[in-house]
Amino acid sequence: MEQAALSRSAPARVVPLWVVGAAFWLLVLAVVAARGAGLAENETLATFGVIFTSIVVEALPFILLGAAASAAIAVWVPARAFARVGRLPAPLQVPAAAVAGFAMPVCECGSVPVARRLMLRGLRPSAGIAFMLAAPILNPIVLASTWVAYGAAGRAVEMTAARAALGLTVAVLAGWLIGRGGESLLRARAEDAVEEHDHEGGSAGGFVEHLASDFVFMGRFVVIGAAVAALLQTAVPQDALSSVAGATVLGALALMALAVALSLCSEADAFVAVSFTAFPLGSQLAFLVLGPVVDAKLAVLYGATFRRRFVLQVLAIAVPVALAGALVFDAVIG
Amino acid sequence: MRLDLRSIRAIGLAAWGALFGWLWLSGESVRYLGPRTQWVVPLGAVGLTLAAAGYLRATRDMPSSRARPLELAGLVALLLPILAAATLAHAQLGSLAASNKLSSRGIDPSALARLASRDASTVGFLQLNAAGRDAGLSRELGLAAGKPVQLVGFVSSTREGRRPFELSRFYITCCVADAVPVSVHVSQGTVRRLHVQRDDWLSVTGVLEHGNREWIVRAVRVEHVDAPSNPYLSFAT
Repeated sequence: MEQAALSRSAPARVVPLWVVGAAFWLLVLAVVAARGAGLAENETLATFGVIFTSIVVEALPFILLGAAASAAIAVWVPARAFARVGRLPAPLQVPAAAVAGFAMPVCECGSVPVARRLMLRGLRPSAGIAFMLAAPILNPIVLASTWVAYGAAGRAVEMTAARAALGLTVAVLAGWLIGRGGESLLRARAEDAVEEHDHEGGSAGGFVEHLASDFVFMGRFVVIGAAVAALLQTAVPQDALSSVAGATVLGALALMALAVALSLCSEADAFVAVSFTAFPLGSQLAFLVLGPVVDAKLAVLYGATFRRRFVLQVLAIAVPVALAGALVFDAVIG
Repeated sequence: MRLDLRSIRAIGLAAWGALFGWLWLSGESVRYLGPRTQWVVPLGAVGLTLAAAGYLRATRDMPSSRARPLELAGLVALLLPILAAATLAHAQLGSLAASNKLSSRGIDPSALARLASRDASTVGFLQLNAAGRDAGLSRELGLAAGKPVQLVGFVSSTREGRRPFELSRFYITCCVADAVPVSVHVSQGTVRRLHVQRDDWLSVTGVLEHGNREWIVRAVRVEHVDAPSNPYLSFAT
């Protein structure tokens, strides 16, 4: 309401149609000129462009699903439902939120808008973080793909169970440690105040408004993150990592760095991890646990959604826990 | 007529809906996504188009919103991949990506080959690459010296003289970002004049011969061909 009033009182700065039209035709001309100049023949540009576009094309529908879930929560789930959950004690709320990730069959891009919305509706920040970090690892599609990928290597049970257990541990610990103060971790957005009050009672229009707002907000940061990931994949040769393949600690750290750089979807990463057979199984496990929690595109998305230092805090917790898990796994199973 | 921020947001949604629609109808989505994630394309096409239309309809009576420069910049960023897709329409991963991937020393795709060999009616890059280091898998796949094979792939590296060159294909699972290059060495064999360059697409017919812990294809016929419409293979095929 406040924003609507503000919009009415302030002179609206709108973009004239001719500017949009001119921009469109300029872009068309630029594309035609670039294609005529054979830009696609440049192997560096082609590699970057294909990886960049493919990450975004894969991620945006998941952002759409996440934005739809977030909008449904905002519009149709009454605030009192979250107030009741929010009053539960943290020792119960945080692990319960993490385990609830099992019911969210989307990868990491989709869980961010949902977690954000849950926190706006009164869920403890620690529980919201635990849900957000656990969902991309614990969801049934990811566990099934891990099972299939490691089935041929005869390690399906061990790797799937270890991934779920270690992912849950990272999520709960990160939730508790980062959100223990209870203060909001979210960056404020101008729409939030309006959105949280305007659509009480629910309406299809409110749903679509929320959805569009979240999609456009999250989507642009996924694009920036995808550009960073594509740049890393194009410019940094990964063979440098293979020199540490035999070392337990360095191998795990190397594969975790690779997980951050590659920004793979958690539903596919097991098929890539299983091919790193020169690395110990524990290192592959660290790759599978860290990637869905923090990667290049998520770092940008977290930066836009949460307060400063959030990415560093998640890394400071997830990396040592994943490393310790990798070492224990190698000692017991490997 | 002037467009406000809401209209511009709707254009952003609709532009992505249109890109997904084009990828869906043209089949070009195989250049970006693997078989496991093809379902996101119709979802994106329909979902984003409906979202754009619904958003415009839901906000048609609302007052004009301020078009802040940062939001406009964000929308421009959101449209950049569409520009990249339009500019690099037929681009694909090639030898540069293959050399950058953790391929030559860190990977042993035996486990993946076993997955693929569940339906081993054909022998492809994955099976040949893995079976070279795995005698059991070679027996399982019926690979032996002199067995005829036919491969279509791109040249990922060449060496001087008549030394074998590397023919590769990328295997993808969800999207091109998870592509794994799998290579087989091809020796010139009985082919007299052969001029190949990195990123050339070739159809190679030949027979298998033992190399140093690998199967090498001794070429009988090598033809330059156009890149296939789907340049990637998947572990499921």
